[in-house]
Amino acid sequence: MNFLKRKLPLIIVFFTGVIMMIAYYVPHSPFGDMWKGASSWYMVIAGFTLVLGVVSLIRNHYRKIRLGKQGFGYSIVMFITLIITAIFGVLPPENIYTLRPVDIEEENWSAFCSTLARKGQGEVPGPCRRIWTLLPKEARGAAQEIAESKNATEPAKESLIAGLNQVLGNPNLYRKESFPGIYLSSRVKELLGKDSKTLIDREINEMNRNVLMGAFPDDIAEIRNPMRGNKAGSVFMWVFDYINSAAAATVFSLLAFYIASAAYRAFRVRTLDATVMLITALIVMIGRVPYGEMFSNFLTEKISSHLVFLRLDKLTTFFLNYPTVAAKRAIILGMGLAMVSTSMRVILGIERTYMGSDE
Amino acid sequence: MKMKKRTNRLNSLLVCLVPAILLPLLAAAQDDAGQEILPLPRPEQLEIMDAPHDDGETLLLKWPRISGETEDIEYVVYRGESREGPWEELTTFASNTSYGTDFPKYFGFDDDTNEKFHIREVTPLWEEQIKIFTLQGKTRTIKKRADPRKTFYKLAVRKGTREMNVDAVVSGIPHDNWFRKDRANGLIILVSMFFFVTFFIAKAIRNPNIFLRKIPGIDAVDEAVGRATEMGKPILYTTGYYDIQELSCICSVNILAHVAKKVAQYDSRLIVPCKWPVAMTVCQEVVREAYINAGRPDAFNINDIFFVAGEQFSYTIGVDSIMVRERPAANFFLGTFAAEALILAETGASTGAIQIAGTDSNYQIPFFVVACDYCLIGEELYAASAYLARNPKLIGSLKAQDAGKMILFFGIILGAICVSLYAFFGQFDFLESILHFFTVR
Repeated sequence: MNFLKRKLPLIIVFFTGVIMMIAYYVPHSPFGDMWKGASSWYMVIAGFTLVLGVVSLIRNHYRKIRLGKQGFGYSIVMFITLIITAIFGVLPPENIYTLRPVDIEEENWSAFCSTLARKGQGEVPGPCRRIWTLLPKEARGAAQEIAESKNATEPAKESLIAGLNQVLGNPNLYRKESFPGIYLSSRVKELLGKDSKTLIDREINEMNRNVLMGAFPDDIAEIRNPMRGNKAGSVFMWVFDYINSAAAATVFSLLAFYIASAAYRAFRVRTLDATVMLITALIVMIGRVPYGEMFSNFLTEKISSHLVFLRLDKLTTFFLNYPTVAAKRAIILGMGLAMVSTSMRVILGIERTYMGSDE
Repeated sequence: MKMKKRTNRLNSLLVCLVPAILLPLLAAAQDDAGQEILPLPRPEQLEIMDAPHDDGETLLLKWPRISGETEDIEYVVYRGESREGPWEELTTFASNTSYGTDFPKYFGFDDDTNEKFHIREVTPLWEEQIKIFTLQGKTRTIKKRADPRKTFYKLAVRKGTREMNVDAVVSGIPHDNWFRKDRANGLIILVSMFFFVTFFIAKAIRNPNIFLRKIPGIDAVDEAVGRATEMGKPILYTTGYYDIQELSCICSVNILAHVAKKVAQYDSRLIVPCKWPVAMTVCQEVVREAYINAGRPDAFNINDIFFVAGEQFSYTIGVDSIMVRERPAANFFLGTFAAEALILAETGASTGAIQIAGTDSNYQIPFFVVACDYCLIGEELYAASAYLARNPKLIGSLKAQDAGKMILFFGIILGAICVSLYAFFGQFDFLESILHFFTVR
């Protein structure tokens, strides 16, 4: 037990640490790919622990609601959004490439069916002729009926749409001579270039729907956004874009006010250090504003040309480039050494506190 | 006679007019024609080499600089499977860019030599490993990269629509190398630090009474926990923006272990809202162990160490709301922080809590200094655990850091002297070599 809990983690940490250190200096195989491999392992572990995170989240908020703690209403909101985003995000996206009656606008039905029936029964090869030959008999009848009566009844629409969806499922719909000059996106070209036997149903629908849209750009509607899944336009992304991102932007914008209040506290003249900082900050702030720079330039030129070095823009650049950078580099160098030292402590097993023991 | 004179005048007028009209046209035509036949300047040779000390995924194309390189003249690199092609356009770039001086990791810092040639990093073609699987009953294939294969490259010069090929076609296969020479300077510091750490740890074991300067932020841990206990309020602890794979988070977790032990001893309450599930799991285990070590396993409440949100500002506002509702008497912000640093610290300050912060992110240090009572700056965050543990081995490693700092201190002085001397005595190459060896490439 002691071996599993104490020694084994230390052995793993030691070997992993040493191998990663070697991988940093040795690009040769197999060390070169180890960093990528370790990152992939981490992703896998993190994926599993995400479940732990969600369990913790649910348990924590459920407890708040059960005990009626202050602000438990927010926990209810959390549950609602969690359930909505989880359901719509985790479920596989619906097939958005199949046609629905609403994908052909009401006023276009008659014209679409007339064109389809007329050109489909003609001799000239083209999209209508190709589709007509592939349409089942009932769908052809429905298209003929709508074309003749100029009135698209719901049963006729349903019948034709069912027939067109059958056509969309045909991996061999597209023929270059039947669809001359239509626009095909790179994705469609990629799908058309593949062996049709290897395509799954969804890909066949995607390919053919795009071909159909290219052939009838005025009649067939654009591909709709999916409700499910996490693609653009889905409920999941809607919640993310219009609730989560907006709320995050609001919190971020609070920073401006917090900076103002923090600056007020920092610049209170209590000690010599605070006074020096206040004066420096004032110079830098005014020096960064165009009017401040103009004013200081005007003054220094009026008084003496030898005082150019006192121009606020010059002083600002000096403060930012020399004293600030010097202090920053001192911190960075110290931190670098501390990182090396801490890493060694961890790799060599001297620092074990993260395992819950300082023995 | 009059007719003859008029004809003569007409002739002389024509003689003047015709050249006046035709000459500019001819000249223009000649210019156009001249432009068409003028060849573009192009390099005479093209070399290929394996990128030194790399992972075997890059080749270098090298060719001499030519006169008249401007932004509107471009170099085009083509890649092909064989000497005859087919060729694919791999990269295009302005002819006055991508010189040897841009690649100090391969060619060092000799600018006078390196600016005389162009270098372009190019990728080879790869053998493909095809994996076959079935999806929805259909056979699918995935192509996976295997080994690099012999790849051919050619170079062309392009201006507008005109393009001229360089005669040479070169080919090569990249190989992976055994050592990153460009990182040798870092390795020297690493090895030195290793010796310092082992030496000072051995010294600390022999003589545990090592002087350690006081770190007020860490000394205040007792004060903060004691204050919270007296007030009967909880203590809030956050491990920062990053997950457990970051060293700052590991250090924060180390400090958490000590804080948790104190909290358990004082019988107070510790709240640890986490941004990452992995960090949450580690924190739970560390706090549990700390409570057990303090002899108070019954006081440990796993519900107080919980996951808030993985998104930056959702987490921030979650922690803020805990601070506002629970009103902790002490807040610990230890780890790496980003934009949320000031939002957290100011909210904590508004609740009147005693605040101890520590971060290694340069840009957030001033915010913590302003808004918190105590702030661990940079390396103090890494030293805190050793400082709290008072373990001779750990303290020895802190001493090694100090020794490292001394080396850096003398290194900076030596570097300044080298730079100054080099300005006067440029002929001493060894000064340049020393300077360049320690320059980050």
